[in-house]
Amino acid sequence: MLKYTLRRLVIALPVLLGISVIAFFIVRLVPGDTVTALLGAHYSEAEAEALRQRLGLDQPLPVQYVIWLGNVLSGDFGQSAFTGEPVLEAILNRLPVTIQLVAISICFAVFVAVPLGVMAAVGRSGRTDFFATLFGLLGISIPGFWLGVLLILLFSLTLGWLPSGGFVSLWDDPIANFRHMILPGLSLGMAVAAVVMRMTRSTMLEVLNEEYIKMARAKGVPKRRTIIRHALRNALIPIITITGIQAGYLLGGSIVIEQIFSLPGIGLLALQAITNRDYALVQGTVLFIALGFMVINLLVDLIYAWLDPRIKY
Amino acid sequence: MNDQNTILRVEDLRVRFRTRRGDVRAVDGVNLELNRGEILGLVGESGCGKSVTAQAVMRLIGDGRGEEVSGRVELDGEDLLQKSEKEMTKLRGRRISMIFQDPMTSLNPVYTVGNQIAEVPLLHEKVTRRDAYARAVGMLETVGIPSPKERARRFPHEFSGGMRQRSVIAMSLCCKPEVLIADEPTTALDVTIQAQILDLLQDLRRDFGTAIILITHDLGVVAEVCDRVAIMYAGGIVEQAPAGELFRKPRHPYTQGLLASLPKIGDRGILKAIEGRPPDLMNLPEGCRFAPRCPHAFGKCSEYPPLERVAEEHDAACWLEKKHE
Amino acid sequence: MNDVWYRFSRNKLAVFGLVVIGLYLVCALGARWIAPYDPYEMRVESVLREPGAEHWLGADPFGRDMFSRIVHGSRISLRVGLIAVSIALSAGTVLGMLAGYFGRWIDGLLSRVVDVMFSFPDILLALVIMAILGPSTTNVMIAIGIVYTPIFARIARGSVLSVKNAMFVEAARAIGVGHFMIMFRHILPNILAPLIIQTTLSFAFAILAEAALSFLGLGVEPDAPSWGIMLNEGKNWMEHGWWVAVFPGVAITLAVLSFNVVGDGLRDALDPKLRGRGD
Repeated sequence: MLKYTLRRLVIALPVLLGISVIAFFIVRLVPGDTVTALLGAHYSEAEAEALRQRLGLDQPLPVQYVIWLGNVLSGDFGQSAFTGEPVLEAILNRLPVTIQLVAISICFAVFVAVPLGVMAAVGRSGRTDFFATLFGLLGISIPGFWLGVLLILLFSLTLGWLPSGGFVSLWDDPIANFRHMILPGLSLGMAVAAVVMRMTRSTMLEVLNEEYIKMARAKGVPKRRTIIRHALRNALIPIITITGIQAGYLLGGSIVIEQIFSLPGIGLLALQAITNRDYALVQGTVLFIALGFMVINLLVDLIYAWLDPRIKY
Repeated sequence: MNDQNTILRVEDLRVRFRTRRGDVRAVDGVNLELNRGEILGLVGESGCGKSVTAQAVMRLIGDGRGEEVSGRVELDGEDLLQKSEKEMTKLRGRRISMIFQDPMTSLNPVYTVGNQIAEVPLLHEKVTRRDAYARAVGMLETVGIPSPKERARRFPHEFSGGMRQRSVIAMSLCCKPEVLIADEPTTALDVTIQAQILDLLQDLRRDFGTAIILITHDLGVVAEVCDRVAIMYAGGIVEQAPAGELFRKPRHPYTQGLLASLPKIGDRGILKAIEGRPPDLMNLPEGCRFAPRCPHAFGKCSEYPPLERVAEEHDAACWLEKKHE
Repeated sequence: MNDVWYRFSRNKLAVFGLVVIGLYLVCALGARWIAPYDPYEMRVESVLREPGAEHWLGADPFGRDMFSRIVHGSRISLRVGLIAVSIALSAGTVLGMLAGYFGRWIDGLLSRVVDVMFSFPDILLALVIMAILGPSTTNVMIAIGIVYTPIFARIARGSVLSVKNAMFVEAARAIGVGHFMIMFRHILPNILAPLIIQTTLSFAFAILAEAALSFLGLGVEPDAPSWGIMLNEGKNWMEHGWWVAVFPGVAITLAVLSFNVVGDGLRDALDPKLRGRGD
């Protein structure tokens, strides 16, 4: 298992390097530069030159990249050109919000989707199956940001049950925190729930047709136990894979959802950095999100290998 | 009609699948008797309803959408078709077991072989986990798997086909059931392994006293291990007799055709296939199902021939028997 | 082909999707005649007018007719979808086929690049590209096209690998047919099914992505009647009129849903083996 983990990490290295190259060069391609943005309309050429030198922008690109990479590896992601806040600090401050948001969405998705998918497969073509299919189709078709808007319209503006945005830390006030997170979590989790439900349903349909399920029944395993211990346990492998992949996409989806609900997470930070052309911050957030995505994929691979005895590490 | 010697009696079993294009009469009036401790061969072409019969007896079909089962299936005098699913669950694996054609897919890939076997006593008897597992290891030894203790910890994908089928047999016999239905247990295996598995079944029948219904399309297998044989055609039994008698004196033209299509060592003659194809199960002929392919068909064959005694312990469903009288 | 169409036509949901797509197409092509108002015309007397006889779907905070804007919005969505998917389809297929067919370093390089692109959430990648290019309809098409290229490359590569050593390819090579001829005449027709399915599903993604980018202000030009932009404006005004936040979303959802069900239907019709597979 350790060997397998290491091998996966080694495979991840070149991809990681590629990500850093993209993160670095992508912002160099942005028209207009930080200097102009920072200094405003009126500035002297000398001022600009000094600022460029201070930010290291006068060096050739490959040199800038190597310097930047060295800094990043030693934990120095630079400073936000706007607030002067160190990028790493800004990211780490915002990280818990996004992690919580993603975690809530995943939990919601899994707890709704897996039982629904199982019930749909077991009662194939029945009423539950019809409902599940409808849920699956709507779930993948309704944009998360519209769902968010609708939820605000209903629960905040019309019913007044929940706040329409903002954030309270979990440590300060867990109940208020939950009240702020539930709508964003739902909006973000719906699409994942739909995808996971569809996967659960189709895999369960396949597994339920396997001979070992018939064998389990023939040896007297009760129905519930057959479905959960024999069928679902096998279906779990692809279900977890797809959940993991979706978890990665949630990082992207969080950009939009955090904007709608004014949640101070990494997604919103990235969006602001992009709109403000805040080089260092864009690089940092992009790098972090891609890294998070990779870590999740790695975890999924490891869980997968652990769940399926047929995979040799 | 019969004494306590009969462990399983199937009476007028009918299975119908309702599909969008019409009803499929997969099993259409099957009558069978299985004596304690005997091996009964159930023989027929693919699609004749052998497997469906077996699964209907196990009640693995019958509760699903569009599945209709009628008749009686008596296990030691109790009608299985009247039982609730809960009662059936308690019977399966304990008093009546089944093994399937493909050992490659009959075992659950994510559990060790030992755990899968141990699940059977755990479900049906008041035993501890440890005892059940010890039983499983013992069963693996009984079915001839070397170093069973170590093998029990292995996963199915680490087993060969023959070893998997042995494990499946161990699983189905772990609680010493009175009846075992083996649905083509050797079809997916190599010829040498086939013979070993058949030997194993015979040994286990002797040691455990389990009566076995051996479903096969291979008359060679029947000749090797079966005490009695029932021949199935298009959803019904057409002939039933002790194995030796059936091979010597087949009465039904279909059985005769089957035997004629069997190669014999030393015989260089041309093998004779039966002309034509089995009838469409959605559209069965009114009378004898075999009549359209039968070389001896005559006027009476437009009526359905009942299965009747033609000699001692020998039944056939053919009007020719009456014609000669 | 008849067989495929027969199987497809028996899937009621898929046929429904096809009809809806047809309606959107009619809206897009005939927007000028279908829309009762000029989508840009601000009428002071109509500001936030409720849905009714005068404005079927109400009017927005600037007094523009919602129905007319949504009808014109279908032009943007379908055009972005069409061009973005065409970019992704052609670039991805060519790259994937080259990698799959020639293998070696071409494959190695391309696979790494695809891996790297897959490690960015698609919206983030599109946002960054939009930041580089600047907001405009053309740039949205390019950005979305680039983002979805790797998916097609991966599918094409996989499919090529699976037919590359088939008899008919060997035979073609044996009689001296050139590489490109083999790829386009012999291999391409055999990998069409997965590509067609992915193309349909990508339309759904592309429409969603355009709406999301525009919603975030990094999509099409800010005054264009894009559904995403309408939704963003609607979000700020929904306290005063629910319709400004509801109808653009309905338009997006219906379009995405239609492409999804048609994609599912095509998958079932083209490849009966995959029937019922969710993803």
